[in-house]
Amino acid sequence: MLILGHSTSAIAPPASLQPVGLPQQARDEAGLQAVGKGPRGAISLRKVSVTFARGRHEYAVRDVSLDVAPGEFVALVGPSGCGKTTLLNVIGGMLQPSSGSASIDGQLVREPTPACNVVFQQHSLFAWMTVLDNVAFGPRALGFVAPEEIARRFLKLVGLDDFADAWPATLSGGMQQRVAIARALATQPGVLLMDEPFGALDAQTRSIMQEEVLRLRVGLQPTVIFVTHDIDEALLLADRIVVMSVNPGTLKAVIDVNAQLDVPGRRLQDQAFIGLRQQLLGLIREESLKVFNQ
Amino acid sequence: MKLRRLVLATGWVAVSLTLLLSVWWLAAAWMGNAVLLPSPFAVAHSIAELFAAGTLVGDIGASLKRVFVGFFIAAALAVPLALLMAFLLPLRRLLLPIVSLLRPIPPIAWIPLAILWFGIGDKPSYFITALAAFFPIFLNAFAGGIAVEQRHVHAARFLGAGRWRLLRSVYLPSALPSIWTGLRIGLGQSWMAVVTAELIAAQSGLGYLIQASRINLETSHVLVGMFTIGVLGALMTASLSYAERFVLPWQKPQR
Ligand SMILES: Nc1ncnc2c1ncn2[C@@H]1O[C@H](COP(=O)(O)OP(=O)(O)OP(=O)(O)O)[C@@H](O)[C@H]1O
Ligand SMILES: [Mg+2]
Repeated sequence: MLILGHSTSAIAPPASLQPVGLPQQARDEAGLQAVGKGPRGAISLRKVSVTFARGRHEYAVRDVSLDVAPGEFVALVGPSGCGKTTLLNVIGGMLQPSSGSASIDGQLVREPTPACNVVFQQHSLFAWMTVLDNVAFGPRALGFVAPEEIARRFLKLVGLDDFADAWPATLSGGMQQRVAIARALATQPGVLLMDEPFGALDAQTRSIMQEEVLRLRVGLQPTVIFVTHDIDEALLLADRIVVMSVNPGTLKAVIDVNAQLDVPGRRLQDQAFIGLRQQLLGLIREESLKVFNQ
Repeated sequence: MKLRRLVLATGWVAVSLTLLLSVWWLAAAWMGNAVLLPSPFAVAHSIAELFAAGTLVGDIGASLKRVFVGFFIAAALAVPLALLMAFLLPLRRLLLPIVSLLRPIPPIAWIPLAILWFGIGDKPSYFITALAAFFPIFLNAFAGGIAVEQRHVHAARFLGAGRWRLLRSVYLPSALPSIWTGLRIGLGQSWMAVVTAELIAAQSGLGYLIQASRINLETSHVLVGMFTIGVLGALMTASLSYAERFVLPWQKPQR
């Protein structure tokens, strides 16, 4: 993996964010015991279309075809209402496409399964379970050996091992999202879908969370589809950026960020950053204006 | 700080009860007829009397037993049924019309059938108290069950939960605040219904005490029955409020 070895050193996260246990170790001990080795998390979308039956024949998403390689980090950007969430719901099996298909590792997606997990803007932590039980839920459900130890290890990974016994409602928004990430990663999904996961956080927490995501990626290497309205966030994190057009929601442009910029984590210093940023803003602005002028 | 609040709260309860007793005492003095309304002192005397004779304790025990047996039967049936109906659409479609039809019938209207089926004594009272508690518990549990958030259901399935785990670890706890409300209302309904049942279908209990005393024109004994029902009902409500923090530890106390 290209980014291995770079991202943690490059950003130099504050001491509190330094890896407490090696992510690699977590991967060896936690995840692989259940799901076996080999690259996982290849996503393949074949002419996915979604219409919401409302009489009119409007497409929320139309003819989207996309292949994502195992371990790849794809940012999905586009104006509000272009179908980003709808597309994620299809990939996760939370929504059946009207036509076309989504598959993960060659398996057709029909319903939510542990091959995939999601972290959305509004966290879905179980309010009635402690932080630890939330994270241990997956390992327990999947019959992993020592689910609580796994949960503790993943909590440590997101720096929240001191809050194992807290109720989710007592945590700050940023901490809740970190627990949600730990819970999603604890079952070692091949694919992680994130829908504006940091949209509700303040700028500072947000940038810390971005560093955290980069750091976690190094060891765990899930394929990530990351929806964001924040171009900088997309540029900072992604290997590829997919720009969606609105009405109907189709793929407008796919930008290979790695080909143009330094590896994730060292990009802010990159000269080409500004140029690419302008290009992206232009693309999205075109779409936003389309909606605006209708 | 905490002590101060406790003293203050107790003080207000004392003032409130004194107000009730004063009004009662004035009204009794104004009426001047112990058959129409005996004074608080006469009733206090009767309480001591019935307590010493052991009949009051016996009646309390009889009523409590009927309430709790009926209440537990109702809870044991209503909660699983409600959650299953929230969980399984066909079952919901099959049973919901029946529930809608039976619900408006007040427990007291079932008493004739209860007596025909079960005779006089504990059994018809169990039937009535269970019936009274069933609907509040069922309806609240059902509302809690169908209000389970999709994002929680999805999250559980992404994490590998099967149907049973989904029901037990997501539907049940997610509906628990609502179920708890149902249990609280149900217990109150059940407590009111036991008196109704005993007025007609029993030979013991606080309802029977009221009914028998009425026939004997022992109004102060009627009031002993009423007073005891009020005190025990208030105690039940208070203890359930107290228990809430253990049943729903993740919720911040509302009061
Ligand atoms: N359940 C639904 N029923 C009907 N229409 C829907 C439903 N969900 C989404 N839509 C429509 O589909 C389109 C795409 O919605 P979607 O939520 O996927 O957009 P989005 O790109 O995620 O927007 P945002 O950036 O605001 O989150 C919108 O026009 C929306 O109104
Ligand atoms: Mg969205």
